[in-house]
Amino acid sequence: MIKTGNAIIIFILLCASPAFAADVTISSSVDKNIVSLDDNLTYTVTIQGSITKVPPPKLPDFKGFRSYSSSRSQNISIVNGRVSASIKYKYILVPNTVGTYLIEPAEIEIGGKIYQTAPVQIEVVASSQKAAPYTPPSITAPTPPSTYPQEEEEETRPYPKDRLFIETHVDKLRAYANEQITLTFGFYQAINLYENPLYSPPTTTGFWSEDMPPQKKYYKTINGIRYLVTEIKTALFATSPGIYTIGPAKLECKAEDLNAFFKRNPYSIFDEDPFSVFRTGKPVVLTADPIKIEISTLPDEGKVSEGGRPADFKGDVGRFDISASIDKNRVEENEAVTLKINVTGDGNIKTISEPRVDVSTDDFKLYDSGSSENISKENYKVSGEKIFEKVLVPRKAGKFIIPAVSFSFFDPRSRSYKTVNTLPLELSVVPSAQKKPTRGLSRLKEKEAVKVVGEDVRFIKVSSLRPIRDEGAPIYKNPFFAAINMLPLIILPFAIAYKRHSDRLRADVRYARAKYAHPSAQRRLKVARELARSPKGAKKNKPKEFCTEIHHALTKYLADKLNVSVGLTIDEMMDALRAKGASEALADKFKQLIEKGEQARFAPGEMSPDEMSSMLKAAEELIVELNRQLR
Amino acid sequence: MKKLLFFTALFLTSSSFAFADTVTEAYQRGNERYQNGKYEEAIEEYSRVALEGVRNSAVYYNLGNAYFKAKKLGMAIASYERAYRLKPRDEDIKANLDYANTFLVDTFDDRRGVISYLIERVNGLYNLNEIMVTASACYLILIALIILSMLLPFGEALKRLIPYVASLAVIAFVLFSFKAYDGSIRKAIAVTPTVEAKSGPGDDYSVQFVAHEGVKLRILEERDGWYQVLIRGNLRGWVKSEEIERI
Repeated sequence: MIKTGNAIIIFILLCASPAFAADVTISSSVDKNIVSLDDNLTYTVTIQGSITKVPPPKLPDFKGFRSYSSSRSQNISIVNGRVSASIKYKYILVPNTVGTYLIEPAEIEIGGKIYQTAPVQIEVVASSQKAAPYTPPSITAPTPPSTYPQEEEEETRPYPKDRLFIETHVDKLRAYANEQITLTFGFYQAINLYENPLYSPPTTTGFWSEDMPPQKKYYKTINGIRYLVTEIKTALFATSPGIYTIGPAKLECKAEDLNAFFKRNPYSIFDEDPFSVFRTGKPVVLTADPIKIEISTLPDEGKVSEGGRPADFKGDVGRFDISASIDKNRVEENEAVTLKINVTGDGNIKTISEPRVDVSTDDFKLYDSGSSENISKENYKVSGEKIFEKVLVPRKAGKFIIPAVSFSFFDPRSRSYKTVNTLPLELSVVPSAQKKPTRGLSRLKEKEAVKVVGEDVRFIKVSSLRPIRDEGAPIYKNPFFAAINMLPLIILPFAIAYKRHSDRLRADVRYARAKYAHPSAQRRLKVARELARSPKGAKKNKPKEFCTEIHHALTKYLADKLNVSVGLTIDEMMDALRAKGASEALADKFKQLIEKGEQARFAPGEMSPDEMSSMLKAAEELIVELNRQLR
Repeated sequence: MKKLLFFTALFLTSSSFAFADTVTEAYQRGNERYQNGKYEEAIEEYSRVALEGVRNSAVYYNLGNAYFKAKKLGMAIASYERAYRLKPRDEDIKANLDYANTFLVDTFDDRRGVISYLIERVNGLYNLNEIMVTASACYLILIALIILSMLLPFGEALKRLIPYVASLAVIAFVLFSFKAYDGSIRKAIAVTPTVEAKSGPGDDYSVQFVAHEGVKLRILEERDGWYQVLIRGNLRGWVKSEEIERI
């Protein structure tokens, strides 16, 4: 029940994956942008995306280059049902002529949508010194540049009719399906060329073909003529038995025209440009013979024990070995283990079929996690490895053996089937720390709707509503925050001082009177000032009232300040003043003013405004001075 | 004075807006790259935000995710830790940090006492600024209460509140000091697959212990590009500065 549920979920996820095809990106790169004529460069197209099946990219016609497919590597992983693949196609580009070339974008069509790479610019420069065939040094025997090895062996064959020819040959004319056949194309030249030749490879319908760079160049002497040989190899794998024809290879070039040279008037060399003859070439088209290849069926009769076809044979031909490993030997229940199966060897790596992993579905949940391949073409032999990854999730605790994984193939050298096995792997599963549901709940388990298939990090935060601001700035560095926290240090002393003052005012009459002495004196002086400035003029002013106010201001001030009763005599007041620390001069001044006021109060008469204001001023000054001097 | 403060405030906010734009753009570009599965490029964009000196929990969190997807466990954990420090109550950050920590190779027996466990739990409830503002608010309210109870005619009623507010302020200051102490501990995460801790600051010293990527270390001392670190099980040793990422 649960199992089918899982299968359905996975199935849905796999089906849904093409819907993610919008995630495809394709990019191209080269290993160098400047290349010399005798060098080559690697052009890589990388396709990435959530896709399972990727068609090969549609390549641009590499104008100015010859191209060879070099390798293909892919990485597919499935995480939470999301497939992501990264496939790299590598091509070797060999420049034809000097110049600047733009490699047009490569294209790929997935789900009706076309993705393109950016174009790449390549500059081809002349090789530093090498003997490029189109710089004619001599006519009959091209001086060997000695950069290529000399193949010493001298052949005598009816060939060659010409100083320029091509030939194709294969290493075997009979082979099994999926066995490597190496197709060699050779270009023999004993004369110079004006341009790099254009090569059209033979048609190879019915075969998987794999380019085998690099091309080889060497010298070979045939019938006494020294040839520069250029060899291009291709690996072919037949897809099914039958008889196939490898089409004729073709090569177009412009060769120097020796006949034209010899036909010329030998003396004309003096009145013509002696090298003009080298600047025009004769176009030549060379073809090679087609080749018939017989692909025989694999033997399928006989018992397995006698070398017959094993049950798990899936058509792989070559020589392979297999190994398996797991990333941990000890896991908790429901913790994933990655099982890696590594098939290495010679043969068509790309078509290696996935070996069957025989684990009990009662013990494990089994998920595919993808495969990757590494192909090498060393010594013109396709070899490499293909790695299959599986994720095993143990359902229960205990000791388990992951049984040996077997892989069968046909070895063409011994003409027999072979089966290789991995070693069985041991895995111990400990009960998970998480509490298991109790028995009573097991019936509910069947109803589970949401199943955690795999875990992953939670998705990123993409809210773009608020701008990104610095959240890490410590707030104590904020000036406002610091200022607000400093505030109590300033306010508190004032508040305490005020509190003490008001408490004293309430409790201490002497303090209160002394505190209020000055303001009440000022009030009286203000009344006196009003009287002196009477708008009705000096005639109707009231000197009596004025002097009374001045007198009261002074005596009351003193009484408040000294906390004594108001009715003191002048002498008593003078003593009190002196006792409180007033200077003699000030005491005299006080006495004078009191006496003057008393005179005016009791001897009626007129007082001029000037007199009044000078008296007022004296009284004001006296109070200020008293306020300062009295303790 | 008021005017001056106002202008300072204006200047601060306007300058922060100017760079907020470029930083927000880098963040959005990073999100785009992440969603397209270009984790390396996303890392580059998010790191640009950090280079501007902007510490933002969302950016650190996303950066952690990008590192995680790019299979850099150590850097992922370091980024999550930074995000966690800024927003300790964020569900996602905590979930991913916990999840990333399940990939650790090393395990330690957790022999901490109840008190340090409680302090860690309590510290996970707020960040430094939050507790600082809380403590400061308690202190300001306490001072205001003291002043008002002195001056106002109904001060006696307010006076009765003072002990409560005072104890709140004390609690807030204690919590603040825990947090500040935690912040003063220099921590780091191992970012190379294996970290060899030597007995001294140099390649020639013998290896004391080997830890693995993602493990949390405490830095005790720094000397010539080497850090003396402490691992939870009381293991000490010197590691190269490029093998760990300070958080």
